[in-house]
Amino acid sequence: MIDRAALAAPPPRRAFERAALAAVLVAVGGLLYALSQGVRVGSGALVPGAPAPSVQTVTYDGQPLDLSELRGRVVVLNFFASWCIECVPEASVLEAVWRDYRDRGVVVVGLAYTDTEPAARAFAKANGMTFPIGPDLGGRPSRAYGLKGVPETAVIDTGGRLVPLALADGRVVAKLVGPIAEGGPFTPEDLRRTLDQLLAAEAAGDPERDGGG
Amino acid sequence: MLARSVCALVPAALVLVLGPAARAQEPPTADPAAVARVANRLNCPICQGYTLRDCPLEVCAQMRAEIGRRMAEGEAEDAVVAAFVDLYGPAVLNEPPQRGFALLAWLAPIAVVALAGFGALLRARARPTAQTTLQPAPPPGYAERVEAMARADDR
Amino acid sequence: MAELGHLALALGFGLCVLAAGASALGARTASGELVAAGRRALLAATAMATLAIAVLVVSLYRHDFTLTYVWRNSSRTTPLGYLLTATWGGQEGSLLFWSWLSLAFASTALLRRWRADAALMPWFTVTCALVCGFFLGLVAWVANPFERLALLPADGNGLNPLLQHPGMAFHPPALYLGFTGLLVPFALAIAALASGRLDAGWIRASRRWTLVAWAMLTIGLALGARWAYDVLGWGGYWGWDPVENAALMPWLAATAFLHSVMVEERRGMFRLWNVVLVILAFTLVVVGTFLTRAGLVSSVHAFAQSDIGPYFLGFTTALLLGSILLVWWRLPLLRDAPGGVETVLSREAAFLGNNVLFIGMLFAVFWGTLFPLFSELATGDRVTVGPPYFNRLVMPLGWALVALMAIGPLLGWRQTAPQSLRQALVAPAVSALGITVALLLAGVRHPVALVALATCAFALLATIGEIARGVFARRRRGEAWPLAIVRLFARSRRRYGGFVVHIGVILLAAGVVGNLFVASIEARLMPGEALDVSGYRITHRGLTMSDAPDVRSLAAELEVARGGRLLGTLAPARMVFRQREDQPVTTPAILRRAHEDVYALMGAFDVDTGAATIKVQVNPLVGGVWWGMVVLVLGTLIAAWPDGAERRVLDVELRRLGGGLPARARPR
Repeated sequence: MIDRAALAAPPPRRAFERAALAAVLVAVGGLLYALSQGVRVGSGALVPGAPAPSVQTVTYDGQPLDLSELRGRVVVLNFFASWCIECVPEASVLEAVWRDYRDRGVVVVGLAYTDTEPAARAFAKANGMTFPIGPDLGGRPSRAYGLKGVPETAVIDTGGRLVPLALADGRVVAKLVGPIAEGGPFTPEDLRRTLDQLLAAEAAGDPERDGGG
Repeated sequence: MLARSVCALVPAALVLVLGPAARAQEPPTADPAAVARVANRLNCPICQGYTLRDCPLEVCAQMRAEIGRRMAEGEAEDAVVAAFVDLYGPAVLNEPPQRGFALLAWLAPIAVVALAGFGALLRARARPTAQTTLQPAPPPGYAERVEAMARADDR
Repeated sequence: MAELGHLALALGFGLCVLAAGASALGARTASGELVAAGRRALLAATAMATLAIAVLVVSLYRHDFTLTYVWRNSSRTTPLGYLLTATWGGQEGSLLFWSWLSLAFASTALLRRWRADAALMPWFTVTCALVCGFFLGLVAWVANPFERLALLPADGNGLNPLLQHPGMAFHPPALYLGFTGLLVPFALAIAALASGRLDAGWIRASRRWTLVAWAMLTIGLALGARWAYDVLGWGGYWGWDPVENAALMPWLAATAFLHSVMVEERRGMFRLWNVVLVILAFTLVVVGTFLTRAGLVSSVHAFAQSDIGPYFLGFTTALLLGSILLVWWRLPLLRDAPGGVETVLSREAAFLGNNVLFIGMLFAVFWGTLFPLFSELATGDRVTVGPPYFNRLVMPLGWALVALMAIGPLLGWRQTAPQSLRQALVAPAVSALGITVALLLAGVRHPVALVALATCAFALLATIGEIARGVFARRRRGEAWPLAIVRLFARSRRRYGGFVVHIGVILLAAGVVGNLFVASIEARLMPGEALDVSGYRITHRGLTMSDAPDVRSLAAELEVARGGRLLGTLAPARMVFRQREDQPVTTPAILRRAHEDVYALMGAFDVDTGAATIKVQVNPLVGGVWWGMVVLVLGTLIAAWPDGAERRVLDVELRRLGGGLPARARPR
């Protein structure tokens, strides 16, 4: 079924078709690349032991807070929100850890996810939180940590790497999804034990060995 | 679409706990129409489908209060919007900003329609119409025969 | 039992691979036995898939909670009807459902069209086998519904309460029927490209499949919109959510394809357009389901994250590159028949404009849906592309299409006498103008609304005029009124069914205009207090509780009055299902009046004082959306109804076209 008239087509159209093909291939290639990146990012890029994504914000007291400037200290990074019910009991857990460990070089930081300053401050006051809290500035920290909701917590060692957290069911994660609570996959005792092990490793002078696990 | 459902589910319980307290703490707001206008330009950061104006979540009510507080202090509408973008990221805007890379969001479809229209016009006209006269005419009575065939099949 | 299901899946996958290989080899070596073997293999694969899905359904009904899928998506208290819908309620089950539907469609086409399209069938089998094999393989090994739990739970998690609604029961299957149905036209196009038989035969073979798949997609979209409006309670029916868009995009491509093939059938033109459009339609189906399931865009549409992303990516890559290469290879055969678009006032030009507008809409939706991903990759910041973007870019194109709907059918093939066009359009144009003036006098000042409604009126009157013209022509031959109308539609189902579809779209468009005039108000009311909106007075009478075996609900009793007259009562409620006590559901209450809806939702409440936060929204013209959809589907039924006489005339013409003779105008 060959169209004879088509074979007499003028030559310049061939060039146009080639250009169109090239354009289509470039567009499709770009799309596939974008989709592949989306798949990679979506599958959760936080790996235990990998460098922790950076966090930059300003606390509600006006102090700039930069994760990279906290090198040399162990950081417990907690994402919370004033509207989050499960964050209420977790706040006391974190506050207790802050009180007990702040002199040993551990910093507890709370980032208020999708929250307003008055509400976050009120929440902190109501739950006795005295550790530094600040907004999830620009949404960047939460996105860097692949936040799906609150509360979520990560522990960063003195070298700025994500500490592997061992859950009750045997899994080892870079970030805890859900509250640090009794009966949960990661209890307050688990957190304290992880911190103790980290600090002990630091004291033993072995900067390469991560704690936990 | 189920984003909306999640947002419908979450507040019902939360509101019971936080609703009365939060409402009691709501500061006096400036012109409600202006607040609604600003809220309409912003997105609820949690659900992907509600504007800040329509979102029933308590946190969105708090954000609306925040808008009101800022406007009561004299901030202009655009300044409040910019402040929200700084706080929550450009994703809080309802539509892509018309600056920078996001401008591509607006331009690309317009360019595509223009290109497609132009291209179609050019290629369609490019064909010489003289070729149509080269085709042999259908034999006489052809149309009638086809009609008769069709009608015969009708029975 | 579950092992049987898994075995069936694995066998099905193997049979698909076999079918692809045998058919491809048979096509290359022109071996009838190989091709027949390939056909049998695909049919056998369908049987395997049927077995697998039957095993899943039986497991659900037997409450076999050792299967992870059954445990996660059902429970002992799930109503029997919804146990069936649990089959597609989760990721793995829905993928199995998809695979089964694809194979069923492919097999049906194989059985029905084996002799009629013998030249296309070998490569058709290859394409279907490859696509279905991918999905089946995915289900068999990556997203396995027959995975076992380590222990036997006493009861399951239960089905998401939001899914236990009739609308939600039919919405996914309808959509899936539409998505998978598009496999057949796509495979026929690929077969046409591969075999080099690019006459209108593949179009003729695929026409009814495309129409049916398109109709199912339309129904699926309509059901989704209705469910969102009735159940989700945000007061609208379309939110430009990424998953909604993922279903809309293939629909747009398929609509464009349905129209564009008419030009190839009539004049052998737009061949490249048609091949590209049908490939685009199916590719968008695959990309759409990829977006939905792999969590690439932020929409919490209930599928848990799984590892299928990379596989889908590979499949999409193969699909796109394969199609592009095929089209490029066969480009010489896709040259249009001589003629071209001779003048702007021709139906070819209208269809060309139609294609351009649809491509424009398609690109806008596609670009907007994926732009958050693009911007995050390019700048690290994610932007939100919401309804304002889509409304601003897509709506104008939509309105241009409505206007085209009026003019297009009135244009002749190749050229139109300007006088006949003017005659046909003068009355609708004048009436539209009159309606605009009437609206202005009635107080409607919104310029967009005026233009939109005027366009709707114009298109509606022009279309009805065309139908009337046909009826009058038959009347002049002496037929009685009812007979004239029935015979007109029966004789030319495609044309007049199409007109009815257009009327449906116009009604829908008019309903959409109502969005510009939505009024809403929210207030905290004590019992006895009222709020006023758009002339309605809503009085809160108090809270009522009710206790059913599986759900506890708390509702606000509202009285709706207008001008002092009581119109009805509304009871927006908050329901807590026994199975999912942590997921209360707020349902709206809707008072549907002829020209607008009063929509009420309850927010916070206080049981002690009986106070409640009530939000009331008045949605004008929203009935047009629902009735428009009904008329649309009705028109599709008329157009798709098998029509012997029409088919034969068309076949004769198509056969002539294959030989290179020009077409002549169809008898009206």
